[in-house]
Amino acid sequence: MRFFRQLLLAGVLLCASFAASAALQIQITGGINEGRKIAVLPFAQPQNIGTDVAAVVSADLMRSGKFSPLAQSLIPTNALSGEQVNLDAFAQSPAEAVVFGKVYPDGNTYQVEFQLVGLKGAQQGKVLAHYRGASNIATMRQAAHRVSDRVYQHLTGQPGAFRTRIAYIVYKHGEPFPYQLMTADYDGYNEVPILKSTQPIMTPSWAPDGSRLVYVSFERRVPTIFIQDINSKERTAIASYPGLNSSPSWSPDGTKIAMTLSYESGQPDIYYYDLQLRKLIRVTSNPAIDTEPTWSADSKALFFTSERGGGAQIYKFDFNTRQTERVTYQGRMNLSAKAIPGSNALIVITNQNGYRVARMDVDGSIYMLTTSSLDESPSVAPNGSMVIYSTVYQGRKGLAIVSADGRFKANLPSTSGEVSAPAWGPLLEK
Amino acid sequence: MFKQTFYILLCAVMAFNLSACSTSGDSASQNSASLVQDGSQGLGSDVPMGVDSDGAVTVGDPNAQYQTQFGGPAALRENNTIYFNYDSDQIQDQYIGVMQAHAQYLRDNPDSRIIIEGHTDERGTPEYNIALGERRARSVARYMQNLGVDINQLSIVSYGEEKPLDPGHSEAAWAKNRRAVINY
Repeated sequence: MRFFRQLLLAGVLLCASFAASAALQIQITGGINEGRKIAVLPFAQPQNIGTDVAAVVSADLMRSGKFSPLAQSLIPTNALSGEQVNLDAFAQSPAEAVVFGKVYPDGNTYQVEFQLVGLKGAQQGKVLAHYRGASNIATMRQAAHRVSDRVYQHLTGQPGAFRTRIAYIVYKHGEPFPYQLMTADYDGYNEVPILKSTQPIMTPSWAPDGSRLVYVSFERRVPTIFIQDINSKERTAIASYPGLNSSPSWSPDGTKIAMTLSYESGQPDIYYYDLQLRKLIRVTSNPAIDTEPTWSADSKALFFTSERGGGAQIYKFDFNTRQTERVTYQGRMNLSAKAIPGSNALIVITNQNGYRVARMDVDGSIYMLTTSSLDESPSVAPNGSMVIYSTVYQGRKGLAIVSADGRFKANLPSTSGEVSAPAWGPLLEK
Repeated sequence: MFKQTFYILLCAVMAFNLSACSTSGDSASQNSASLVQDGSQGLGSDVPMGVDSDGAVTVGDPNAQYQTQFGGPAALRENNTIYFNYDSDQIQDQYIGVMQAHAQYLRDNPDSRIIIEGHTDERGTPEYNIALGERRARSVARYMQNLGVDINQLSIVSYGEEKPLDPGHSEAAWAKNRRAVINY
């Protein structure tokens, strides 16, 4: 397979030249050497593909925080003999496994093929995972993310979340409709505008089937909570009461939307709208601020922020026991709780030398994930591995990603406008 | 910009069966149930909608006047903002004159209505700040009521941190953004 090796060389040369067309670029800010070492070899692929599959896979695995793909300079030049891994070449390598593959024409489409081969101990030389699937140039990034998902799942036992979408708000100063609700791949590619408004848009939240978003719009000058079908563009207003209509959060089971309203008592309280019963149910009635309701993974409890104890802290309302309990005690203020799927920990914004993304573990301890000071709107990947949030850096508001273990951090600066309110969409594809 | 302009229906608020029930052990607050009436009255009932060439739904009229123009009496144009301390909805003494001037005008012009916009700086989360902005707007509304302004002349809206006066990220910018703005 001389052809294969020539393409492999071409892949190496192409490696640095991609990644120019994302709406959000990625700038790594920390923690790239702390994960499990893995070698991702350049894929042998025709030049016209436009997507460097290996570079996408490598970036995906790194962002999870669980892996540290080897720098290209540390990958042995003779890593492959034909289509076999040259195990001797990896004898001194710290990598525990190697990913390699190719993309080749197949009629009007392309086939994307890869193997994951173990390099250490009993796994040495074993094919741990392999896959081949059809793709075309337009969907090549998705195909690359699918490779990442399979590698991630095999090595961690958890599903990968690399084929997910995010929603976010961009503010483009000076445009006729400066407030814009967008969706994009989790890494900022394939951006699709959903709603553009003359007035602010806030707090997008995904339906668990990924087909609709709920958000707050100020298009009527006062806030209204809308559901919008992202395919049919159909919009439905579900809350437009006097006072606040804020902080919508779609339950993971799809049946309810929690929100904050203030029309009954003049103070913000937690409610939910039952989509099946078409009924609004009040959850809290406390004279202090109650807001930012979000759901537990099983949809049987709501976390929310309340000032009932003085400073803002996180509380939990359990639908079975109908009891409210305080959850956070450490830190002057804790805000914006988000459940981490597959764990009992929570992501919060904690006020400690500024507002930072932190993880609150089951024992109540707070583990700071960032060192910035204006973090807000954290949203957790559906597999619990990564957190996307909004922050200010270099004088601009933009998105950033931190792995839930705090190992990996990266900014996603926008190529246009100030970006906020990220919401991580559901896992859809197998 | 509009490739095709059509009105997507279903904008009407669904008729709710409002069966609000207190389910937690929280003590319900029955007082001040409707200090301020629906701020949406007469506003934005007819928001233009369309579809942009890139497929996005568009809402609002980019040429609408209310976004930039002060609709009240010219004499009060430069005197319509009340600034707040960090994380506070307490009205400071130096702004009482602002409210007295508007209260006087509203008492003399019972057909005039104001909307009080509450704003915050960017620190804290957007949803918390929306709640704080509403508290600031309510604080001003309550004060105006105490000055004899009819409740039906007052409405409030909170924009939280979404509409900063100064887009900077410094203490000086934040001080300008923690405000309530009276508009007509």
